[in-house]
Amino acid sequence: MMQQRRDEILAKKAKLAELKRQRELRTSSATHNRASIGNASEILSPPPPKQDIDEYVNKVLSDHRRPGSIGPRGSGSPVGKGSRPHSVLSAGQLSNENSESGDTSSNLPQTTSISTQTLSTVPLSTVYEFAPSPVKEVFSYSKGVQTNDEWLPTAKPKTYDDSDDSDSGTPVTSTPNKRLSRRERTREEELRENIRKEIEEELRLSRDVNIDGPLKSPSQKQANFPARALTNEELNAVTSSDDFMDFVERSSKVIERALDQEYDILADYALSGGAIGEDDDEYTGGKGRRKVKEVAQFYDERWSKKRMISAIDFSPKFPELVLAAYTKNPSAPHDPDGLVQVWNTHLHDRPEFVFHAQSDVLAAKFSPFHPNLIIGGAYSGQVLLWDTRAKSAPVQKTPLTGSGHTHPVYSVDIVGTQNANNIISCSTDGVVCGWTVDMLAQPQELLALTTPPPAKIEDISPTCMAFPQTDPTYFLVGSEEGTIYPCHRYDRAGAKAGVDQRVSYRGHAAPVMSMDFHPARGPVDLGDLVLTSSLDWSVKLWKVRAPAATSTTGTTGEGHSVAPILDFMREDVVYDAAWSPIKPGVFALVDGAGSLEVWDITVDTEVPLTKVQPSGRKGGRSMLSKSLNRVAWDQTEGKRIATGGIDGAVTVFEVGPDLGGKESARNEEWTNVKKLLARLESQGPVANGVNGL
Amino acid sequence: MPSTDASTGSVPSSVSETISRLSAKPNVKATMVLDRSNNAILQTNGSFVSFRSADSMRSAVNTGVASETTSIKEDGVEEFAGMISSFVSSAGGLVQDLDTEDDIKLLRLRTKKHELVIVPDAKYIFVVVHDTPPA
Repeated sequence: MMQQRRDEILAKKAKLAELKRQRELRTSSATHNRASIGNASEILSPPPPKQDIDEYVNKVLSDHRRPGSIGPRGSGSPVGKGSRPHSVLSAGQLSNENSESGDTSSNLPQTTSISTQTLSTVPLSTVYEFAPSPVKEVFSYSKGVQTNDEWLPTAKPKTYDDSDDSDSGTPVTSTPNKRLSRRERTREEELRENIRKEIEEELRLSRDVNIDGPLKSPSQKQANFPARALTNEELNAVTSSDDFMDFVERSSKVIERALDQEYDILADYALSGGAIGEDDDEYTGGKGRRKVKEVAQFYDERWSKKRMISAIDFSPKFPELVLAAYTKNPSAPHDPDGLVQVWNTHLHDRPEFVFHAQSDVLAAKFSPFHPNLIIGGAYSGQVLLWDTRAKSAPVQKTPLTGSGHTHPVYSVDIVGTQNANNIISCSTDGVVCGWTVDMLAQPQELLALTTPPPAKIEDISPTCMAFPQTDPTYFLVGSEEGTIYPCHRYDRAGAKAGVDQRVSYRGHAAPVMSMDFHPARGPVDLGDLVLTSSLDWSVKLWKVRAPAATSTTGTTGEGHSVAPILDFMREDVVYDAAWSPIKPGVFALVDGAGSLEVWDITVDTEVPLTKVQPSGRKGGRSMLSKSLNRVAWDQTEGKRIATGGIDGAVTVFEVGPDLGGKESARNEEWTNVKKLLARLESQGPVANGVNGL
Repeated sequence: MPSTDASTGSVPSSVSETISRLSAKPNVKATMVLDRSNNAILQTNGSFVSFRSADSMRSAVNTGVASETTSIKEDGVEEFAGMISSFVSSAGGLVQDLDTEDDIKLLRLRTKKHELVIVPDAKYIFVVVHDTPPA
């Protein structure tokens, strides 16, 4: 019976890794009891006393298999942890008990260890030597009894005897109890209780430490690689799975962004005086606050090669994203002709997204009302809609046949409000279509533009189209012959839908390449200013009349011609010009010579403030391929300009505080523009030299 | 599925292209993709020796060989994978302890000499070792 129990306990103990060490210690102590204890305490002396106690407790447990100590474990008290403290306490009386059990060999180390280990236990043991042993043991076993003690003194011993003390008879226990005065007893019990708690606590702590220690190393062992080598087929199966490809796609983007992060967040500026000089390389234009500095260039060997950039736009929602539309690569007939790549200024080597089209993409733009949508116009006359959440194919496109465009679409826009907006597209045969974003199967409205009466031919071939910020029903189209016509989407008082016949803006002698309404977000309304660029080597500034005001200019059949109020003569064809979204007088232009120029009309109307060329890509740029086609500002800050041209590279520049950035915007700039306009208007259009027709 | 590229174990071109471009970056020392479910190494690129000191390699091999048989290779790839795996799982444990509904998305481990960028996913782990500007 006793043997059996011992075996059980040993089995339990074997499960605990902590006890391995203890067992080793014990086996050594079997031969040299005293010596081993001495050694053990020496070894354990560096750690705090709790280690000693733990040691001691374990020793007690392992060395003494008393019937009494096992009994309570089997009955009510919690197994394992709970039972140990009890046995510790009972160790105080072991000398008495041992006389009964007759286990002398274990008795010896017990007493010695008590005397050396804990001061508090020693007085306890002497006290109990007087009392008959079995009785005391009963008391020490359970907390519950001791708390009951005060009001149920007589009942308590009984329950004890019944519950756990099968070896010692009930009458024997009760008699010795009465010998001790109750007060004494309770005090002792309190003391014992306290000690027990302390030991329990310390035991628990030390066990946590012990368990954590040995358990961790096996888990690390388990992580040893490889579990097994994959066969080629398995490897293939995993790496070809959509899951895996998707993961690589996503994670590599994250990693590349992390690697491209130029700022070193661990930089210690106090540490060393590295060469922190002015980086005035040749791709930086202007000085100080008017500096224009190249910050990134995007080119993808696979996709950008031999394609020209036809459109550039910054995302209105994420200022780090810039899209570029490309024409076809004539040497790669199997690649899709049309291409739109969305680049991230934090990800230099690859586009964030790539979108395809069956035909050259000639115009593309982020939807200002939905950050995921990109609209585009194609050479085939299709209007396309891509979604950054979808794959590279357009999520919607207009049909090739039927109602819609049958000529190339060089200009698309999306106008209206957040809740009611339309895609407007304009093809070179003079057809303007309005579409809903949800349904591109057929146009919601279709308008065929014709030249007003005095012209020899009716046909009009728009090259570009522009909407004012405030009015989605009115727009300008620039034509191949150089004339700019105002148009109405709907019939209105004094004018039918289509080209407004009463007024036209004449000044350019060659195709108009771009038109841009002033963004006008400031104290002065400049929304009627339009900047146009043309192949006649000039950029012109116009003041357009409000659509309602045009009716006051007489209703003769003869069209009224309006001349530009300011003329910027350049040294090459100008492909694109765009207002800064923040600074009222600042605009950027790109020309056929491959230059980006930044102007501020409040400072100078004769020469640009800054002129800069993008850095040459290795082997990519010859004289012929330098030309820049498109320019765009980032919409939120007005600090970055993206350009792109024939060589297919998108170059992003950052402008100095005098040319962009919200923090430097001042109110007097707006009034300066206003003053300049008033002066120009009083001078009359002729004063600007080059006049319209 | 035709497998022509023997060196990459017939990995789809888009994946191998992505990884090779990543590892072609000037500062990148090595890349590795692990499968978390069976601890298999799906992709490696670059040298895993160059950024480790000889001492650490020797001691690692010594301890490792004791339990393994002969699988520790000279290049230390498997051993590195093991270290990454246990690092990620212990970091994951930390996050789980803080908030059981949370999860790791990115681990960037900066040392004096390098940076490890680790993207742990539910099924895979992507590791890139790259040089950082001396600080």
